[in-house]
Amino acid sequence: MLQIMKRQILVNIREKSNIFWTMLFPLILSTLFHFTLGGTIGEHAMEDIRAAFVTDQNADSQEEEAFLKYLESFDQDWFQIIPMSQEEAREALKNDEILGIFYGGEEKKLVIGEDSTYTSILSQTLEIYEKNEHMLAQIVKEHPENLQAAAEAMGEWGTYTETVTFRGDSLDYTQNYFFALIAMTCLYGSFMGMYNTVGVQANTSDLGARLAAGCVKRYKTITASLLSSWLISFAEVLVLLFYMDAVLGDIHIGEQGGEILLICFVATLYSSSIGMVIGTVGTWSTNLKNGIIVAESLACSFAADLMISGVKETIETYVPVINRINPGALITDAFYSVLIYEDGEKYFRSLSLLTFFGILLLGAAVLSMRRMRYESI
Amino acid sequence: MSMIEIRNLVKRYKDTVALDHLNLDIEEGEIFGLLGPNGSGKTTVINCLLALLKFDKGSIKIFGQEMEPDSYEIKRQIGIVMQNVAVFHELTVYENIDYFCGLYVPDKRERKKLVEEAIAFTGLEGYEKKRPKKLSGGLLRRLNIACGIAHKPRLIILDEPTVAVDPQSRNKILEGICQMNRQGSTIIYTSHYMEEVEQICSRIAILDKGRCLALGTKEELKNMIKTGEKVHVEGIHLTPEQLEVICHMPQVFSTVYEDADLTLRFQGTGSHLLGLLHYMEEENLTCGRCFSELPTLNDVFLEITGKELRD
Repeated sequence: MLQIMKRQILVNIREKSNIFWTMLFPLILSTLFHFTLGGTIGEHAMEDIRAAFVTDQNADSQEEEAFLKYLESFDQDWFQIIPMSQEEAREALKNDEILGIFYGGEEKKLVIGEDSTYTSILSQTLEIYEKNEHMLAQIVKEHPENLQAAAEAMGEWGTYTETVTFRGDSLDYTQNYFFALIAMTCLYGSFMGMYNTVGVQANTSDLGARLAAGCVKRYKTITASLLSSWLISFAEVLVLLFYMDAVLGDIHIGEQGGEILLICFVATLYSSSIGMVIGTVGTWSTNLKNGIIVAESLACSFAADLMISGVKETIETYVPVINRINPGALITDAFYSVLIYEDGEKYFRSLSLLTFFGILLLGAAVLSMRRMRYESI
Repeated sequence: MSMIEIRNLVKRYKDTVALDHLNLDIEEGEIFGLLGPNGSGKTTVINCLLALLKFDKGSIKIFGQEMEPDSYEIKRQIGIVMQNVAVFHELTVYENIDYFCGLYVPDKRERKKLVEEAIAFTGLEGYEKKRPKKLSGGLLRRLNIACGIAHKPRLIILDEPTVAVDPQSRNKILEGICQMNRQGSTIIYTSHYMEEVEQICSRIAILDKGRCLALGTKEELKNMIKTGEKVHVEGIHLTPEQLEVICHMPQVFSTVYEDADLTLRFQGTGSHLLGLLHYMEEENLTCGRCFSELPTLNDVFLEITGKELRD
């Protein structure tokens, strides 16, 4: 059996078109993704907000100072307030060096430039100040004894939201594409499964007839056929993972290697099995079977966000059962669960479903392949 | 006891009867020819023999045992050369032979010797490292044969191994088959080329529409038919009276005269060409070419079925 397996692996590796589509094509695609989508990673991170503060010379200087202090209390890397004269501020706004101008005085004002992306943040900033100012004025009027306590309470920023950690990685929609690409590569293991199955069945190829007429026990032929396709497709996925992690840096497997390898191992079992099932179905030509696998892999990958981001989410909203049976969605879910969310439950669900379907398909393939006499050849 | 016993074998493909109560006995040491036109059932017999095809009725025994899909010990002693070339195009000539031989012979050292012998036997020296795609049609056929016979089987089944092969390779293949037989292998050879079957087979079964029409040595088959001699005269112009005389010559039982070409069939033994030439001399008849030939297997097939073997 080992000899058949070794030869089968050699045959699969030397089959150029097979290797191109199942290994080189995903590598090329991942490189293209890296240079096209990779550039957009972090593109949606918040830009620095720079605004000017213009003092009203006629206003109460203490009040002006309090307003400036309030604005500067936001002064972080992403929010900067620069005191300027009116002319300087207008010039800076005109040249897009700042996004807005805060005017002091009795009636505070905000002037926004043409870029209105951060209007809400700037206007909220002013609004909060005005509300607080109004509230303090009310307290002075109605409960002057509580002024100190109110001022202290306002000084303390309360946090009422909790940040969900994504394992320290930021969630980016471009990850969809990379995970879907890995899923597609796993699914391409079907090609090997199909080729190897066609090659050992008397009713689908002359080689199969020669093997079936020989003295190798059937179970050995079937096992060798499955193992060789499974191992090759698993190795191909490993190559892709290594390339995307170590060379391109688009995914970061880190300590999650075990979980990732396990899901790929099961995913390639699934794809090899479905390839074997397609290989055993009828005496259709290899080209037709190839076409079926391409269509199946692409449809599953499409539904797992390979071409358009958001498809999987839409399916999840309207027909979630599709995501439970789509191997592409199960693989990407598992990757998300491990590399982004640390969601063990979802990972386990994906792993279990892939294993279940993989074994089911394998059983169907073996049942069909163990047939040794055919109605026609 | 025969090496192969086929009894009452019936195989149907839906409404088509591919094998119709076929009975055959093949003895050890012979080169047994299965001759018949395309679709006569030759390959179906082979596939049934190898337990690849289900059949509707009958039994097959090889080496005295019922042949079943899991008769691995029987299969171990059989070498099969498929009608279509069945090799791995991704492996070299050597690797292909080694692989198929390895299915029967696990020992590496023994296998190496056998593979080298098969390469020498089929004249593939110098091509060991070539991939099948680089080989000519003839060499590819030889590789196909080498893969089937490398493990030196007791029974070798060759299903039309010379289809689309150049004359040089064909001769090499036929010589090789005779040599394998001399070395002790029993051969089953299917073909629709009567010349090949006539050349190498010790016994022949003529199949048509799944039935065995005739079985015996080539001499026995030829003796089964009326034709003893065929005379062809090309480029001869006969009057109806002259043709009538020729038709009534002794032992003539069939006359075909078309486009100045005359074919006469004589029954019984002896040469009848001289008698015809005498008559032509008397009548001052000239011709382009005139020759006589003994009946072929095609004549046997023609007389039995009423159609040419290659129709």
